[in-house]
Amino acid sequence: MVRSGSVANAHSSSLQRSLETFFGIGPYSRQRIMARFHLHDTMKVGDLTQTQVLDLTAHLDAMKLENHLRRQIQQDIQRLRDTGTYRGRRHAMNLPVRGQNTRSQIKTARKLNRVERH
Amino acid sequence: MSLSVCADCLSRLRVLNRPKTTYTVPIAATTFPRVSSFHSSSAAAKNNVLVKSKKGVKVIPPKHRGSQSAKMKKKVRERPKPPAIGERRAQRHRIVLSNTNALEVPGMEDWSKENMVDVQNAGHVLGLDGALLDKLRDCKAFKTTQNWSLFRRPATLIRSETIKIGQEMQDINRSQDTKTVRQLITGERASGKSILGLQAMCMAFMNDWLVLNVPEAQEFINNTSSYAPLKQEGTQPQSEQLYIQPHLTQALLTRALHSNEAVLKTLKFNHEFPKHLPLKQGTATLKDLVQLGANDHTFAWPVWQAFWREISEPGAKPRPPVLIVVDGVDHWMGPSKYRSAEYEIVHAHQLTLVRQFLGLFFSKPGESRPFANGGALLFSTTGSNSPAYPTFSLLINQLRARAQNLDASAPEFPLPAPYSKPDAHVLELMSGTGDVELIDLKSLSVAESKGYMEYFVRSGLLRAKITESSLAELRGLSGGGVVGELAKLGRRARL
Repeated sequence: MVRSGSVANAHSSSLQRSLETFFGIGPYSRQRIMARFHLHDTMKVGDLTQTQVLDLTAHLDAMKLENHLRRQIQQDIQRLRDTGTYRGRRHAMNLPVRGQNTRSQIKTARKLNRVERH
Repeated sequence: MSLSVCADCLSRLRVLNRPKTTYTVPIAATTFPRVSSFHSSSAAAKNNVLVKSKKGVKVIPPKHRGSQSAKMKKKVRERPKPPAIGERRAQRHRIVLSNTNALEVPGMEDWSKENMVDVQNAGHVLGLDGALLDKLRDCKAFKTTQNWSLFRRPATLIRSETIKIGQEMQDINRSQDTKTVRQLITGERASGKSILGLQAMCMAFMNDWLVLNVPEAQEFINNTSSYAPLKQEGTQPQSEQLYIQPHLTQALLTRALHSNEAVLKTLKFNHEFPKHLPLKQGTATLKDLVQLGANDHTFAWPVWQAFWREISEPGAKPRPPVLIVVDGVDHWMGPSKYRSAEYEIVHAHQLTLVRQFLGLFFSKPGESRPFANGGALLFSTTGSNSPAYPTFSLLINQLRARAQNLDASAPEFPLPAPYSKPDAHVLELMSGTGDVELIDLKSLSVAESKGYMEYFVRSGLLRAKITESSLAELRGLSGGGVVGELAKLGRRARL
């Protein structure tokens, strides 16, 4: 598996949970991945057969996950900023991007909306 | 001589520099604020600074803003050790069949092959003997929701429905014609549907039938067991993709193996089995075949197919009658929790085992008989965990209408509601309901309730005399004699 180390550690943990630990896989894509390879809900990582592991690995390899995904998000924000869009500027200023009020309650925006996000 | 005022208080007594001639009240100290009428030293010493410091001991100035509460040494909380892995589950699934605190019921007969369908036993509670219990346990006939753990030894109430099923089984035993009985058991919650299935299994074991039990139909559809698409054989494309469930097939074979070991040992092959199964042609028995599937889930499906062929297709060697019991069949009447590779919902009827069992039960007229030497199919619905599948309720209503001799063309005959979207898979089954008999389990009769409650009295659970009036009261409180509710009243402590 892409992160075979993490999976080997989680031998007895549920496959659902293990899949969702990847950045970029939530319940939505997890359900689809599991259905694609006919894996049932209560499956443990240790129950996977060798072929299932290989299939799953190949599928996860093709997906944009973890650092690839993080980099892409970062690049998207960078692009917005470089082209001088309003959204890019708001990101650069650590302010809400989607038209929220800024009188109070913009803590999350201050924390998250930045060019170097992660 | 002890002083009435303490020494510290005296030290704070201000001696006025007045001529001694003038009269001073020695009690002037009373004008000072007195902290305590009996002792003041601790009050004066409340400030640490005032306390004389010992040599070498650093005096810590008081923290005025800090907490003034006394510092307690933090106790290490003793955490109870959690139970070992699997222990909780084992506790949840444990079947307890006896209670040594309960009284032994004197003169209770055992249920055996001889008195199996004795009409005089209706309303009596009969005991189950040891060999039978092992078989029932192996095929998972007992459930945790039933009250076996209350009594000294397992025993069961013989109802009129039990005797009816027993008589039909005896007919199958006697008749030369291979007949298959199909019965759908419905009824309210706690009306004794699962117990009736268990009783049918008992009778089948007494007569050396082959018994296959599905104790929880829900397991087949709730996406908690492995599944895989069935490879399409032949060139003709099937209308829909079917799925096999290797682990559930393995579990089914395991139950079949352990509960029918003696019967399976005696059965030899009638047909050739697939070559990839590691069995010895000629000497192998059906027990070896089933054992193979029970040991390894990868063999489970081909083994099941071979096993099924052996018991259903007639051949040179005779086969015993077969009983198939399924509990909670309504879960099989709708979409399952499984998804296809394209993330489409898999219908319960796309699962091969479910399809096979339902195909047997709702077989269309003119189709071949399911078992080589006859048998019975006993499917029961669930009352407490029933999913809302209107098409299946319609099917039951149609069966009910047919039992009342209502013609299908009659205006009162139940039909799908207009503008509703009935489940096409379940609608298909309706054409095969011709042979299906509906057993609508209602409450117990008065005689049966009396027999049952007296069993509670004789076991020491119910400390009351069962008179006509008290029985009427109990029946009234239990929805007119619903057996599970009666049992609840029987076990309730009266203080």
